[in-house]
Amino acid sequence: MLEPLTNGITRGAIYALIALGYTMVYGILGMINFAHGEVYMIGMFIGILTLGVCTSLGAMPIGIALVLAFFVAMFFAAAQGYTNERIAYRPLRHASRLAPLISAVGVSIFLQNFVMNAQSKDIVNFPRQYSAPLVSPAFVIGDARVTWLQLFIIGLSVALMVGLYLFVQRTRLGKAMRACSQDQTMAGLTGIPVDRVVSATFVIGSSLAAAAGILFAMYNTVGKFDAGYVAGLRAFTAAVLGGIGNIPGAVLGGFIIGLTEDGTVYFWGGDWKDIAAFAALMIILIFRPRGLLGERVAEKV
Amino acid sequence: MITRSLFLRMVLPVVSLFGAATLMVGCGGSNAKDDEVIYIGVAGPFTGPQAKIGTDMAQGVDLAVAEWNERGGISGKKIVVIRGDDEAQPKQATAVAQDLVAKKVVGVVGHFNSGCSIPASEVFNDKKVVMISPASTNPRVTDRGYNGVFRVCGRDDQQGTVAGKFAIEQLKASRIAILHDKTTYGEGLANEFKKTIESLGVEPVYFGGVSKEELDFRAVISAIKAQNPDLWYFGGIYDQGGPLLNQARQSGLTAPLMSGDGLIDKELIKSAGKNAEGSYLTFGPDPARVPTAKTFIAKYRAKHGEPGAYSIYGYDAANVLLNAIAKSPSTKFDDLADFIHGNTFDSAMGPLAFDERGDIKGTYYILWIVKDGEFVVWEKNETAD
Amino acid sequence: MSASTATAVSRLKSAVIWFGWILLVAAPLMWMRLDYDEATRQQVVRFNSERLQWWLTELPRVLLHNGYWLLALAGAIIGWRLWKKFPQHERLNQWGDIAKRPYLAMPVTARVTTLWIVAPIAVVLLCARLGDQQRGWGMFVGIYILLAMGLNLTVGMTGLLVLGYGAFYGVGAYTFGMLHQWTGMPFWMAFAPAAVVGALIGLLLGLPSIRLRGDYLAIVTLGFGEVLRILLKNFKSVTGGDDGISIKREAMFPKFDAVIGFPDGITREASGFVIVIVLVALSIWLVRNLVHSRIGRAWIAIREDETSAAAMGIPVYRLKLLAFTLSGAWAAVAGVCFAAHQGHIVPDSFGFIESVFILSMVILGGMGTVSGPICGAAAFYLSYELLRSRVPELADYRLMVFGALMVAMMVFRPQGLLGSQQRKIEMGLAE
Repeated sequence: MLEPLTNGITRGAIYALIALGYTMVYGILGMINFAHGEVYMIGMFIGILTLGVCTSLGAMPIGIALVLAFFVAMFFAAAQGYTNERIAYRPLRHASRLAPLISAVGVSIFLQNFVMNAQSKDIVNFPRQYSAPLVSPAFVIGDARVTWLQLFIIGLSVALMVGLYLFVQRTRLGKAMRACSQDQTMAGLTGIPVDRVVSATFVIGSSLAAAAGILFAMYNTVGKFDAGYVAGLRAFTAAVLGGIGNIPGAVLGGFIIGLTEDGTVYFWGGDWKDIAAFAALMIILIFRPRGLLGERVAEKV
Repeated sequence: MITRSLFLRMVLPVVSLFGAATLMVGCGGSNAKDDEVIYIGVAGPFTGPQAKIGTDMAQGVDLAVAEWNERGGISGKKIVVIRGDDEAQPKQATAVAQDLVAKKVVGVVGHFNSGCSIPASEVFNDKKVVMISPASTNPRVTDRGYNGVFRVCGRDDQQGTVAGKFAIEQLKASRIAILHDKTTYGEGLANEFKKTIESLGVEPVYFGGVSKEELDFRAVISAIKAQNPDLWYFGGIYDQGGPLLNQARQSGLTAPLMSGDGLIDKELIKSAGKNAEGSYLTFGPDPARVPTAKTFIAKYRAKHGEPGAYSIYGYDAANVLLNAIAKSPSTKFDDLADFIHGNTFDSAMGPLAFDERGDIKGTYYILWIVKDGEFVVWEKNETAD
Repeated sequence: MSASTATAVSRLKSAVIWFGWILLVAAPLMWMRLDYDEATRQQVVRFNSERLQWWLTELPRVLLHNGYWLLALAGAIIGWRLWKKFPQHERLNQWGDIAKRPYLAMPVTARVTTLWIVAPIAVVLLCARLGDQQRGWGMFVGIYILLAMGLNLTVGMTGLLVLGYGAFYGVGAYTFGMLHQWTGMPFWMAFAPAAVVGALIGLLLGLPSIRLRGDYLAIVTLGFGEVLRILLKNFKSVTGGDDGISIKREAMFPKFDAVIGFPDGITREASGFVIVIVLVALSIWLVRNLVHSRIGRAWIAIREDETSAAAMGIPVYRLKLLAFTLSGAWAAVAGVCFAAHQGHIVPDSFGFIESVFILSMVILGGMGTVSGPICGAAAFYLSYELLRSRVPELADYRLMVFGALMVAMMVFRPQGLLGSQQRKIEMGLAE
């Protein structure tokens, strides 16, 4: 019984990282960034490629290779997120609500197929030697084996989340981001460079997603070009569950969705895993659209 | 006065409709030199996740066709292969089938996936084109009694039965868990396996499915682990088999895995590495041990590199088809079909003969095991460690 | 003159800079490639020289080989120049113009309607010359026209973004399939029950979701699409799971061996084509009546500004539900046609990709108009299939191109191919 718990928390941590990206963008721009899942997937692939380069270069300590992979992936994913925003969302900033949504779907399809063509239509393997030392079990609780990898994933995710929280609360840019999400026009009038803040939001969210991508590839031992679509939808559900626009909410939502998935499989079998997240989403949206920690938003006339 | 909007609203629909019609007519795919060429079709997944095994099969066909063309073709006519990519999707499969028929192929080697072969065979049967599948193992492919549908591989009920008997009689397994990928092939195979072990008195301790896009199996692995199996079976393809094995071993599920021909591919070893050691797989006889196959392997290596598991099946299917076209009274559908039914063919895997349903006669599947990163035929003294 | 060239030059410069930036960002994914080193049994990375080779040798060959596409592009550019020459607004010089050109006295809508009666007849006549494969394509164009028109009711006219439309399509096909399995009914008896089921499911989905905001509604419909697909796969005993349902040949589109006037008989594709064209004509008539009625105008009002519409007394909730219900029925009818043609339906045919296709057709063609989705469906589907059939080397890249096209359309021409300038303004400044 405990194993679904530990698995769920691990996966939930990863979902939470991705959900943060969704929630931040929604908070500032009021739009769902459909292409966020694809940025996560690109981070995954670049991480694997970087590790491959490290292998090609010869013997390199695992720690250094991993750190390098994280940084390179986060850099490229951030660049990708920034590009998405500039090309597909910024021109539509003042358009009807439908337009950026459709544009996002277009970006998502483009990126998915781009990676599929550029890299592989099949699975890509996470190079085993870099996760090998972490795969051994750290301790055993009941029938659940907790591996060092799981602890690493949870630890790194929590560290990043705390880092983000501190960033948003304590730094100037973080304050600017909060201001923009409250009232964009006023923030602009008080001298905050709104465009740059929006770009920064995308950059940060994408970096987190890239980290999540590498962690997930390490955990699953493989990556695939459509991983973004699958994980993206679940992470978005998590963001909505916690209250979209709300950073602690996204974290909470992530863990809940992770646990729900494992719980569903434990009780009802693997057939129903995919539905778990969607069913949760539909139930929340019908009964409590503002999410667990979100505030009621009045429709502006 | 013609305004811009009027221009658009009047001209664009007309242009698009007539333009499309002209394109369709003009590029109606009329093969000019019909008399000097014989077309055969190859249908399978050439893009998408199973692109590699689809391409392996197609290259086997290419090799056979090249050999025939070097010998002068059939009655002096050159043989040309037309490929149709079905992306392993049933909807594309029927579109591809119709496309090949429109391009006037005499016969088709394909499709690859059972889920594609079944609907495509409807089209081929309707339009009277012979179809030989190198890899579709679901019983329904030939069970519907179409005269022109054949396969050079085995059937899932044979495969599942062989696996089931092996599990009970050789491995003496008593707690068996069964997993599948909810596809026609995977679930069908798992069901056959389940039927066999039940008939031998063993109930599976777990039976469930995962979506074929799923890459995170830990949830079902914990459920399986909780049942303490001494063997577990997976009906599915290698792109899921790899991560499945990895995650299972990481979670502490040490029991050996048994699976079918969907997992036999080098990609499995690349993905799972040592975690695949000791896995049992059902597959056809080892080409390396059949003398006629050795020549095939050498020729294939020279042209296309290392053969995949299905290259030889593509090669054999193509040879059966080409032999039939060459030696039957005419290239009409009924003559070809009857010819294939009534004759034995020499193939790289040995002599092939077909029964009235279109399946090959004789049992076919044997057990293989993964040893030291290679697929080897299981011998009695080998055990999974 | 120099001012516009200056802006043109700066635009060109920024376009070039962006292009270079995108190449840089995409560089690792494009130029690096994972490989398996047999010796060390490890995964390594090397430069993707095959791709470079492909770009240098294969791509030019493919482009040259398909020169007629370039010709078509040239034709389009000429058409564009012509289009720029025509004035924006109509200026009627009283009766003189109408005496010289009587068709001007017909209202514009009547002129377009005449065209839409003439064009299908022309197409049908032309099709007497075409082969079965082309008729099959034509039939699919008809099916997608039905789907696009149905989706247009919710997305285009009422402004409700539905991302799971493929599910309704599947509902229709599976209703027919399951009824056929139990009672053996032929396709023409299935239209009515399928439409009813589609409408019901639309209603059921709409009831809780209509209240949600646009983005949430999109996600819920997307989720519904996926859930339906998975339900179809899981309940194997009822739906056949991944194996799908096979329709017996007698229940599919009919095939006649020899009929008066057609000594060679009529193939399944031909009869299917005619049946679908009839359905399309019926649809067009229904949709035009809807659009030019109070309901249609109310929908447009809801799309423009929901709160004001409610304030003016429009029953917003009920009309949104109506849009959902009707579009569900439309897709279901299209689904029956699909099943009657294919003879075999599987859950995977009705997934997210299908929904995105239909959405793209509506958007590319022009949301909210009658002829927009028709044009979009025809253009999109034909280019998709023709590209796959005639240029198989580039088949992999089709979806990539369509994704980029969706973005480009939204940024540069949100009103779609057949939209008007007014529509562009609506899409740009509304909300």
